[in-house]
Amino acid sequence: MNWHAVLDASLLFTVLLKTTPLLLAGLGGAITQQADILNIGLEGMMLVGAFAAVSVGAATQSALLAVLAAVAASTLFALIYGYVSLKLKADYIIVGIGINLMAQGVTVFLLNQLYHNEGSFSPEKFPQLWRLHWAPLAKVPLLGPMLEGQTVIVLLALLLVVAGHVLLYRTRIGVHIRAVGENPEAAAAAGIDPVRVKFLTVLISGVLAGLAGAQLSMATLNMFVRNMTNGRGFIALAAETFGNATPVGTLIASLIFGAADTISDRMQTGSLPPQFVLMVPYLVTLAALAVMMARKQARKRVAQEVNG
Amino acid sequence: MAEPTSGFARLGRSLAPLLQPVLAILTALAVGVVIIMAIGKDPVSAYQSFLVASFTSRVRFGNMLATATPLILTGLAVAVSFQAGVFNIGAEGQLYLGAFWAAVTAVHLASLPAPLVILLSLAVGVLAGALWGFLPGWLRAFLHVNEVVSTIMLNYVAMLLTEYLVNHPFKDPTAGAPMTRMIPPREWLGSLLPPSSAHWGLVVAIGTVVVVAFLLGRTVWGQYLRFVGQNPHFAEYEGIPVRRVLVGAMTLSGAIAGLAGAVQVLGINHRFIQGFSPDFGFTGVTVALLGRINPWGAAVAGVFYAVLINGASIMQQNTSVPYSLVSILQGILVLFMTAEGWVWLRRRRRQASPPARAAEPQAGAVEGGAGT
Repeated sequence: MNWHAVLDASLLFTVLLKTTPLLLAGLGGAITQQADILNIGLEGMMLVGAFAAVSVGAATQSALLAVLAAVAASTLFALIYGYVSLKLKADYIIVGIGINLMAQGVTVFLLNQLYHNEGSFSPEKFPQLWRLHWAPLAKVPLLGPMLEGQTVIVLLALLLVVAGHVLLYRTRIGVHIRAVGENPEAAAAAGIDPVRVKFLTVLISGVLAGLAGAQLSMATLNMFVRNMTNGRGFIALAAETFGNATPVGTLIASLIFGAADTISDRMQTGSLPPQFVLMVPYLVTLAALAVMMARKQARKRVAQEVNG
Repeated sequence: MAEPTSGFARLGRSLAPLLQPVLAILTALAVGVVIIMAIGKDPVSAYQSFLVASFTSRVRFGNMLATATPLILTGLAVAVSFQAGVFNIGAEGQLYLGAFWAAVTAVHLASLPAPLVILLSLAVGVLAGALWGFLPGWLRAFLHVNEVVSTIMLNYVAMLLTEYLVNHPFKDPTAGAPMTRMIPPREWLGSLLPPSSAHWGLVVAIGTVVVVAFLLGRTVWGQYLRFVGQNPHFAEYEGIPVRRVLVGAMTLSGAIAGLAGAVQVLGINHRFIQGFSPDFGFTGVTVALLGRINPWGAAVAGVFYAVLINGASIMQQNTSVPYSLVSILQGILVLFMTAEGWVWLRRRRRQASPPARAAEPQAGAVEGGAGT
């Protein structure tokens, strides 16, 4: 194994690059989880976001419109998710699975119809997202190489961790969201409409998943590949779970999973078979969930013993 | 006032369970018409291929049954987990492992009598799938790791693992593409309705439906399983070993998905080929829901879905409406399958919530309450 290829100066940059889609989707998952919804549909919302970004970016040659299209497409899917699960009262895990299936179907169908290709779409000319280049920052050790050249979406994602924290713990809406998640009956008795609050969190998660999709397809490759999310929506759910549905916790967990993805990416030039290397993010996710839940169980048991 | 037990009312009640699947199917088909018209194609001729073509010849009918065979099994697998109130979304990975190890067994034991090899090969496929169902089942029951996330992660692991194995240690050196060596023809599942691709795996699938229907409906363990699915807290209170039942349900579910892979290999592919499954496992979720998570329902829905899949291929050939239309329709079907009035599933998902919260369609979420 060539460790120099794995650990070089651009490592932190790549970790942050790989973390961002997980972080954005994870924040979306955290917000809905606070309102007691496990958002299985993140994967599909991200996927349509990634597709819309590439498609609209190629057609308009505007990076801004590409990002807006990603957010719009993903939020539309979130709207369907919220409507069917909250208004039609369908089981939201099943609805999430339906959203993912529909996203796969719609993106492949449109690839076929618009670009006559079932596998991928790689436009010849594509608008570039605004990227961070700031001389003073570049000189700061660690932080400099980590941030220099990242897309505006990466910066936005980091700001959204703070915004998410403020929203959840410092605003009335945040209080309502957490109240609905903890005890909808009591929340309803206090005059909060649980369905409205839940719907709001689902829409917020749609916006965030759209940004995640745009980052995924626009940060490096400027192309869409069939099913390019590859389980990232579910890894984001795991990150949110690992972080106890808090924005800061989700950031930390996303960084761990982003690092696993980075190492997996870089080891492909090493001596291990690529399949085992590609397994790393999924295995790390599973192991992290298992360890976290085991600790939670142990703590609960201790608490029970203490309380008699 | 009408007498509530009038014949009409009774008929209504007995048809009521079919209402939701039928509504979901009609909604999906209607959206399909809109899409076909939007891309400037003729919906009538497209739907003729889509829905009717599978019945227009013996070969097409047989091929449709061949497609139905793995779908019945994966639908049944998912239905078993749903009955216990857990979501096995890992049928795809379980199917891959079942298929791979069944193929390897059949290739390497070729010196034994053929019927014995077939049995052993199916059994190994079942075991491989069972192991891949046991893992997330145990994680769910004992650590409360959400099984939707863990089974999805395990799908990727299973697909990558078999991809490695079929590219390196078990690759047929004479083949260009990654596949195992060919299983000797005497070990293939015999064909039904030749020259179509239908095979005896269909009988295996129906036999499994019978066994699972018996297990769920007529045994104590099956009663436990459904009880846990309906109300794990009460089941625990009643002294039912909830965790063991959950692990058992996921293991059985994985075993059936593994069998689906083994049957597909012995009946159709005759070797393990990388990427052989067009999402048979994921489609199992749709089939299970369409069949209202009932074993016989899975059999009917498996055939219905096979009509759609094979019809979509024929539609693409005849009218150039893309095959991927069927994926969009599948999404819509799943989306609306549990909408309003679907008490049968929502009741199962209320498990984790105290009675005060039962009004919300909610689930155990990540810390799923089953087994607490």
